[in-house]
Amino acid sequence: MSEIHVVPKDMKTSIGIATDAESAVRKADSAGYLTKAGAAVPGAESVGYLSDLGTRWTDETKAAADSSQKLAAEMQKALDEFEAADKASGEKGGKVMGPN
Amino acid sequence: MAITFGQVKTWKAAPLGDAGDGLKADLRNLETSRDELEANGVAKSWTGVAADAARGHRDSLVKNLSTHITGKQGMQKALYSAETQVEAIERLVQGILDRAKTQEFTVADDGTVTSTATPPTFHNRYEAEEWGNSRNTTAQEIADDISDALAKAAGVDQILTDGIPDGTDADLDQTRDQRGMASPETTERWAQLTEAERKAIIDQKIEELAEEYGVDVEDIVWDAQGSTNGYWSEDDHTVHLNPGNVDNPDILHTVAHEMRHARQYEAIDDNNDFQFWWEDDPFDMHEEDGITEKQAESWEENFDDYKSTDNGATYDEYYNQPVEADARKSGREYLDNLTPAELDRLLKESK
Repeated sequence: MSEIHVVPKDMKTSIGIATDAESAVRKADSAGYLTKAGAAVPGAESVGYLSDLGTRWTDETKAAADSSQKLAAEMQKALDEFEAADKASGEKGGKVMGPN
Repeated sequence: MAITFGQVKTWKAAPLGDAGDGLKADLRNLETSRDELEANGVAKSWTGVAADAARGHRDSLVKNLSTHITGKQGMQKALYSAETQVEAIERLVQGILDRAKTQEFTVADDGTVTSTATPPTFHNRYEAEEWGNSRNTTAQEIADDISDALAKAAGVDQILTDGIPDGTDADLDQTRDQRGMASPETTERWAQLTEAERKAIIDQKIEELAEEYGVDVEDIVWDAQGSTNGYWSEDDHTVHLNPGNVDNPDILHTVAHEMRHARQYEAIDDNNDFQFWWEDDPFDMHEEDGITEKQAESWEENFDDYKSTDNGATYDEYYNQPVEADARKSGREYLDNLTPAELDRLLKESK
């Protein structure tokens, strides 16, 4: 069985990184730039490919942003569980050792 | 469908550069996110089963982002490269339109150049001829510049197509993997050539391949129709090509492809040829080029049971049979490695 170890400060830093990544990646699909590029070269066969690529990039960045969000949520859940367990054991200890 | 002068007239370089800049800014953010996720996206101090699962999740996310970033970097490069070329097209088009206006010509969207000048009064027919010749010369020069602009546009189209990452369009992937693609430079050079020059290059290439392969080619017949790019007829040793494909450098895939079929037959014949021990083996020349006797035998079996959609086979059965896969490989390698210098050499040799 593996050892469980959580440092809340480190967890919060990583949650922040994953949350920031979610926001940054979601905004960086670049599809609009491809639409503008395609409009600059009417008649070119590549215009259709640029449109397909824009759709692909939108899907990919959405998937990556969702994945970052999920990662942040996984870490938040682990941190919450750890903090709840820590609090519960603290309260339990208080009852045993505190004044009656 | 070919790009028209009317379309090229409206091409703009600046949006391509702006798009490149936009991608650059997005790439910076994506790379930062990817690098931070990789370094600290999961706390190093966190251990346990859930931590291991989160690391697996993070690694997969980083991998997907890296693939996305690589594709975007390729497109950014293509956009900047296209921007430079379209700037040159804009200058060329402006020059064409200015000259046409100054010298009283109109240029139609299909590239037709027409004189709008009212002829002066001539004192004799020599003056009239001289004036007519001068007008024709100017019109031809303008038409040549239009051809240059259209050739450059074809090159730009190929630059942007080359920037599309694999996995975006199934047909494009198939073309790249199976038929190959001419480079932007080769595409531009091909577009500059006249139909007669293109056919001369094709004739020359067939002649050179025939000599290299030890094959007799009796004729090149421009009679393939519809979706048939071409075929080799072993019965009368003729190469058949589709005249509707001459505009596209992809026809050079077809040339190499059909000539490879000619060689396959030649290799089969030479493999079956009987020699006394003191005689040279004609199959040696094929072996020197990497063709094995086993391969020639498999081609012979394949030709004996050739799969064609005309005789009830599926397209996949036709497409994937050994002789077709081998011929496609030859065509692809030739087209992928073709350079403008090689086209110019073939043209020169053809004269």
